[in-house]
This record gives sequence, C-alpha cells and structure tokens, in this order.
Amino acid sequence: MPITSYGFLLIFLPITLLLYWRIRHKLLILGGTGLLFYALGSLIFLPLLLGLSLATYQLARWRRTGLGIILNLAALILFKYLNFGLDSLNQVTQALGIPLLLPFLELALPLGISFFVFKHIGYLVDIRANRYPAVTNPLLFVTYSAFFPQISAGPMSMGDDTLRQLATLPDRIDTQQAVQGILSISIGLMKKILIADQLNQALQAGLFSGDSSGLVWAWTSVGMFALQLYFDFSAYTDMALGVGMLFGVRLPANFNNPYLATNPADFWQRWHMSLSTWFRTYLFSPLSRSLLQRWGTIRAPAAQYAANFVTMGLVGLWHGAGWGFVLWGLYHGLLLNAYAWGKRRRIILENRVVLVFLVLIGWALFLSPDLNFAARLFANLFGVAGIGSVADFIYDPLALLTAVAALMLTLAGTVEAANMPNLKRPAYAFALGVLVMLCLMHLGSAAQFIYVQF
Amino acid sequence: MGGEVNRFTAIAAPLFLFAFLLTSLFIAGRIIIPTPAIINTHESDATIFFTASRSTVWSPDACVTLRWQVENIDEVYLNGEAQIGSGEMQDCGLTESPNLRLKFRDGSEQTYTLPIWIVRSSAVVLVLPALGIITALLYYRLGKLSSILSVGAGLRPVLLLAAVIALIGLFIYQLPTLIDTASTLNWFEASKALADIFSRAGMLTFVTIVIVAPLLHERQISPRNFLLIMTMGAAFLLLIVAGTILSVNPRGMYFSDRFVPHQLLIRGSKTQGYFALSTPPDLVIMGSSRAFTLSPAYIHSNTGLTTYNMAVEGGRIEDFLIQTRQLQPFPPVLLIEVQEGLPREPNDIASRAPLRWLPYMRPETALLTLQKRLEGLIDLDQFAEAIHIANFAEFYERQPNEWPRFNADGFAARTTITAPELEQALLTDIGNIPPARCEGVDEISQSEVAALIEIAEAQDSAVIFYISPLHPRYYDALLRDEPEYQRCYAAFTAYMNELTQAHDNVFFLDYSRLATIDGAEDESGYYDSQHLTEANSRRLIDHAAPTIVSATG
Repeated sequence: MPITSYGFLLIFLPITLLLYWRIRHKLLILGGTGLLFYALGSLIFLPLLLGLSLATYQLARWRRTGLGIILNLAALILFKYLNFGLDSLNQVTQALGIPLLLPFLELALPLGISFFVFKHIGYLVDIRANRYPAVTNPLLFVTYSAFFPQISAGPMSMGDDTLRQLATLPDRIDTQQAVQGILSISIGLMKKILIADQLNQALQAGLFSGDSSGLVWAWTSVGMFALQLYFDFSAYTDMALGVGMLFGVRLPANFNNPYLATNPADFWQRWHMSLSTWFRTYLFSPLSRSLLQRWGTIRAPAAQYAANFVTMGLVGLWHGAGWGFVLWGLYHGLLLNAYAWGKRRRIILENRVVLVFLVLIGWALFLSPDLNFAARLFANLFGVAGIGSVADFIYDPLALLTAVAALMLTLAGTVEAANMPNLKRPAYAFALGVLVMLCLMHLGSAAQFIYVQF
Repeated sequence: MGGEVNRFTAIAAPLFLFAFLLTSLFIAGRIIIPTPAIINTHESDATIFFTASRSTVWSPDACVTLRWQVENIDEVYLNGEAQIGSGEMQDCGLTESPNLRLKFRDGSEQTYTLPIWIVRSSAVVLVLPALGIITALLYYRLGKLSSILSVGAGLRPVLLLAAVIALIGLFIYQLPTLIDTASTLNWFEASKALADIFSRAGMLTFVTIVIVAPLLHERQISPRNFLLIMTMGAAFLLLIVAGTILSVNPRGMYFSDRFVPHQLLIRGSKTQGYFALSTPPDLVIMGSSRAFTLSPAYIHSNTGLTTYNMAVEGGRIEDFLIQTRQLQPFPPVLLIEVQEGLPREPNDIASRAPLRWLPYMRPETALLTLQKRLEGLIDLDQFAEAIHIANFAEFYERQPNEWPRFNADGFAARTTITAPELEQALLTDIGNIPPARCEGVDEISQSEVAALIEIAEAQDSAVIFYISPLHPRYYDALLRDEPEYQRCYAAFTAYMNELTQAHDNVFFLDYSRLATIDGAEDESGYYDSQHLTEANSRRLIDHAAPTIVSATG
C-alpha cells in the first residue's frame, strides 16, 4: 500500500492512529499494523519478514551474529542479486565462448527488503559490539523491523535509537509533535505531488522516449532527474518522519540540502543520511580500522581510499542489481578519494557549482536503465551528438516551470520538513490546508516513489 | 499641506490598488475560465444555433471551435463562405469576430456576429493582471517587506523575492497556451489543461510560502489553532470541489442530471427503459456497443417476438449478469453478444454503472464502485471536467449528435457515415490494434456465465451467445498482426461449444467473420472496425432468426 494512496492516508492511517491512542497495548497495535501494512503491499513475503525478524531476534540473544548476518544476506542475495549474478556470469561465459547458460529464478523483489535486512544486520553488529543489550521482547523487535512508516523506503534508523523509543512509547499524544507530524506529511505530499510527479511526467515523455538527443537535452534531462529524485525521496522521508511523529516516534532525518554541499564528503553527509550513517558505522569504519591494522599507519591514505571504494561500490550495489548502480557507487568513491587526496595536499576543492556538475554526471549513471542507454546519454552530455535544438530544452514548458520552482526551493535551502521555516501562521495554515486538499485530489495519478523499488 | 498629501495618499492609494486588483481579478477570471460565445435564437420558423468555444481570444494564433446548426434556412455563409446547415470548424488566428450570414425562406437576409473579444497583443494585457496582483501583494506586505529588505541580511532575500516574482511571471506567460487548450471542445485536452493550471498554481503557492516564510518574522499561532485553520482550508476546497463535481456530474457517476456528461452512459437508462415497457418482451438483447444497432422492430417483424435492446457501452459478461439479475419478469430468450476470451473491465462498471446496480454486483465490484464514487468526489480530473462541462453546457446539450439516440425499445439510431469517414475510422482502428491478451477464457467471467445460465435455466429461458462480425479488413489485419488472436479465438469457441453441449438452453452463433452469415462481405455496412450499420445488423438477424425461434420453443 503506497503511502500516497487514499487507502493509506484516509483509511489505514486514521484508523491505526485511533486504535493506537485509544488502546493501552501500543506496541501490539504498532507491531500488528506494521505487519498488516506489509501484508497489504506484499502478502506473499510476510512470512519472510516475520521469519527473518524472529530469527534475527533469537540469534542476537544467542549472540550468533555471524549466522544472523549470513541468514539476512542470503535472503537479500537470493531475492535481489542472484539473477543479476547469473546474468553477469552468463555474459562472461558467452564472451569466452563457453556453452553454459544458467537459468534465472522467477522471484519478485520483497517490499523493503534492502531496508529491513540492513536494520537487522546493524542490530546484530551492535549487540555483538555491546553497544546496547539485546532486546528481550520479540514483539518489540518485530515492531522495529516492520515499523510501517519506514518499511518501504526508510529512513534506516539505528537500533539503539528507535528500539529505545519503541520500548518507551508515550501514553499521551504531544500536540506540538502531532502538528509537526501533520505538517511534515503535508510538506512531503506537496513535494511529491506538486513537484516530483510533475517532473516525472516530463522525464518519461522527454528523457526516456528516445526521440531527442543533444547536449542541451541531455543536461536538461539529467538536471530534472536530479531534482525529481531529491524531491521524490525527500518527500517520502518527510512523510515517513511525519507518520512516525504521529505515533510519538522520531525517525532520523535523511536529507540536509544535499545540493548545497561544497564537496563530495559534505554531499554524503547531506544525501540519504541514514544510509550513509549505516555504511559509515558498519562498513567503512571497521574496514578502515582493519586495513590500518594490516597495512600500518604509513599507508593510512591507501586504507582510506580502499575503504572508500569498497563502501561506495556497495552503496551503489545496495541501490539495485545492475552495473550502472555499481559504477555510480565507484564513481562517488573516486570523488571522495580525489577530495581526500586534495585535502591532504592542501588543495582547496570546495565549490558548489563544481560539485553539482560532478553529482549530475553520477546521476546520469544512476538513471540509466542499462549500459547502452548510459553510453548514449554520456555521448550526449559531452556533446558528441551535437548541441541539439533549444526546443528540446523546453520540451515541456510546464515541466520547465516546475523544474525552475524546484531549483529555487533547492537553492533557498528551506524545503526540508525537518527544518521547515515557521509556518504556523493563519494565512499559511489556510493555504497549506487548501494545498493538502489539492494534493489529495491528485492522488489517483500519483507515481510510485523511486526508492520503494530499492 | 504635507499632512493632506499623506492623508490623500493613505486613502487614494488603497482605493487605486483595490480597483486595480479587482480589474486584474476580472481579467484573470476570464483567462482561467473561458466562456463560450453563443447565439441561440429563433426567427419565424427558422432556428439558429451559432457558437464559438470561447468569447475571449488572447494569443494571436489561438484556435476557436465554431459550430453552427440552423434549420429552415435557404443559404448559410460562414465568414462569407457558403456552408451546409450544420457543421463545425476550427478557426485559428482570428482577426475579427466570426459571422454567420443567413438567407431565410422569405428571401430576407440577416448576419449574426458572435461577440468575441479579440485581444491583439496578449503579452501587454497579461502584464496588467500580473502587475496588479504583484503590486497588491507587495502593498499588503509592504510593512513586512521593508523590514525584510532593511535587516541587513544581504542580497539573498531580495534575490529570493525577485525569483518568486519571476516564477509567477513565467507562469502567467504560459497561461495563454494553457487557456487555448482549455478552450477547445475536446473535453480530455481541455480539462487536462485546466488541471494543469490548478496544479501549477498550487505549486507556485507552495514555493512562495516556503521561500517567503523564513524572510518574515511574524507571531506564530498555537498548534491547535494552526490545525484548525488548516482543516478549514482543506474543507473549503473540498466543499468547492465536491460540490462542483456533484452538481455538474461530468462522468454521470452521481445523481445530478443538470448537465450532459462528456461520455455516453446508458446502463441506468437502459435498465429504466426495460422497466418502463408496458408489456415484458419475449427477447432481450445484451451486449456492448457492437449490438446497439440490432433492431427490436426488425426482430419482431422477422420472428414475431417482442424485443428490447439492453446493450450498453463497453458491455461485459459481468454487466449482463447484473442485468439478468434485475430482469423481472424474465424473458424467454436472451441474445447476448460476447467477445473472445470474455475480457473483464470491473473498473468500467465501477465508473459507469448506476448505484442501484450495487446489490446485483459481485462484492469486489460493489466495493470498487463505492471506492470510485468516493474518490471521484476529490478527483482533480473530474473537477476540471466539471468546470469544462459547466462552461460549455450549451455545446454539450447539442454534443450528443455523434452519439446514438436510443429509441424506447433500446435500438440505437445512428447518423449515416460517408465512405471517407469509414475509411478514416478503419485506418485508425487497424493502426491501433490492441495486443491480444489471451490466457484462455477468463475464469471469473466463466463463473459469471455459469451463474447467468443457471438463472436462465431456473426461469426456463434460453440463452443465445453470439460473436459480432468485425470488418473484414480489420479481421484480416488482426489475423496478420496478432497471432495470439487465433489461439484466443480457438480457446473461446471450444469453451462455447462445451457450454452448448452441456446445456440444452444454450446456443452459440459464431459470426466473427461476416461471410459466415451468408457468404457475402458488405464492407460498407460498418461505422468502423467493429460497429455494424443497421443494414448489416439486419443480415445478422436474418441469419439468427431460426435459432431465436427454435430457442423459444
């Protein structure tokens, strides 16, 4: 059930809230509705979510961390990466002339698997490292695992924070927090419906139609995609945060004006922050430490570069089973390393415009459905196919208007619901009410959130 | 003296701005809601209907749809050019108001000129409302604005404000194009343009709030009051939208019949027509629009059976089961037009069926119907369609010319079609053959067929299923371009034959190819690839008559 559906916003959420604040067993309600929410979207995979949650819970108590991680990764690999691996292997064997063609498995991708598997792994590692004690209530862990505001597309919260909040759920609703939650949901809805979806329509017609070409078309399209992705994903996060607040749970922020960053490291501290935090905590830091121990401090830069490459390659792979994503991750690894290298030599590499340019190059890899498309897009981005006509630049004047508006909001740096400016004034309240209703009027044609597919 | 000037300024400036704002809003209103120009009059025994799709033309290359329909007139001249009594044309780049010169039967002449306001230079006029609105807003916010600009926050606030104003300007610049589209008679394009105007206006409001809010330092209200006022804002728009949709009823989903919907909706009227019959018929025809032209009168003359044609647009087996459940008293024979694979379209039924069908529907379809009706009340597309229809109400009252007109016995009287029109329709259909989705015969549809046959058996009635003939050229293209079709067709006919063998009261007539009826292919007897003219329908009835008669025995 998408969170931008009538079913969720007008039926599921109000009923769940009513039950939650009326009934004493709040954890039971939250856990039950989490599983119900998952079942409504992906009933066939409910046993997978439930089974993995309970197995992770028990293995953490037995301190069988390795087994827990293997179990979770096995599920992720089976459903998300196996066919990609088989396909890559087939391509290699074909290229080598070996008559071997491995069959694919016909498996659908379980909803939110990348998110809940990573939550489980993070929890197992935390317990192993004694960061906090293992949970002794299976319901609490299942509720954490299936917490419905974040199950589809995050934000990926850390166990110590969210588990602690779920263990001490408030008895009474905090009006201030509830209004902030409603505001956050409203802002997310507006970003999604009024901006991201409008850009999506234009991109589907202009970028993926395959009719246009040229430098102007390519840069316009990649720029619009960058805005669409940001508004789409940050809209989801705003809504998830808002829904969490309505239940008295504060989820971590995911964005902090990423396109205002000045260098690659700064960008990754502002873009998909919960994922960056996860990878930094559970992969980059231990890997760096391990490499430092093996290679010695004299080769500290090499350890950092290697850890950056591995981490970012896996960040890319996390997004999807495709070489485009892996290349995108490695490309960002390269940017981070270049920045670190320059910093060591006191070369100033801090510039917003340059960074946006570099990030856009990365998005060209990210958005390409396959490497052929990526090759064509890059040829256009670097002018191989000519400049193209100005008409292509404004292939949809209304989309251009939306893109300009999105760009203005991005530059103004005031569009994150988490640090939204003071809107609690009568005129704004009325206008926001009207806009929320306008968004609800659009819900019938709302597109799926991009990050739900990851 | 200085004080007097200040007092004068204090009074005159707001008045001036108020007048300016009012004028601007008036012009903006005319922009956003294009009103048609209409002459609808009588002159002795002549009737004159002459309209243009819009009464204001902004951009120099804007297109206007002109429609005229005159009766009891000797000669008709549109802008000086001779025309027939009724017609429609698009006129792009109007330089003067269109006129219709009529020569009446008594030899007198009269010219009717549509009152269209042609604004030669749209850009200049559009600046007026833009300036008006912006100035008024600035005036209203002047106190706060001066504080923003003097706080020493640097150039950033000024740039942000300038950017917001530029963005609004860009929107206003694009408005004429949107209005041109919103002014066409094509409801789909027009309402989409209106919806675009609303959503972009919403986006601009959102952007303005988010950008301007941090620049102002105002007192906040309590969370409770914030929520209350926000709810009022939402309720305000909900009332406007739901009220408009309910009263205009653009898709015929609700109760109001004040306006003609933009789509043909006859499920309700066909059921009502059946119950209005003085004597119950011997035969009821069910089917999609392919069965519209099966004439009950011709069947009666051929077989002696009184007949009612209950075929509905996009009719599917689920429709027929719902209709069958309502038939009281039950007719001795049902003649049902079916399509290969028995495809299901519950969305169509949910959107188009009258609410009184609810008790006879499958529970899933009934729920879907209720869901669609509720969602429809806050659907932006329907809201835009409602505005379009309310705006062009007089057009829509004459619009159904291209739709069939249904007699009391359910027969569809359609206007004749010329050979070039048929050719055009055929080429369009052949170019858009939908991919065959053949997973055998739909299982839910099979259960519905079984339920329908069971009802008929309980009433001791017969059921004759038939496939309506496709145009031979379309049929050939289908076989050539869609190999799946043959598999689909074979599976379906095998299923139908099983049914006829299993039930004594079930018959099946395969007329998928016209030549199978009597060996001849009358290619002109169609309206397009699949809709028969009355002539070809009669051939079908002639051939089916013996089966119908035997079924009654």
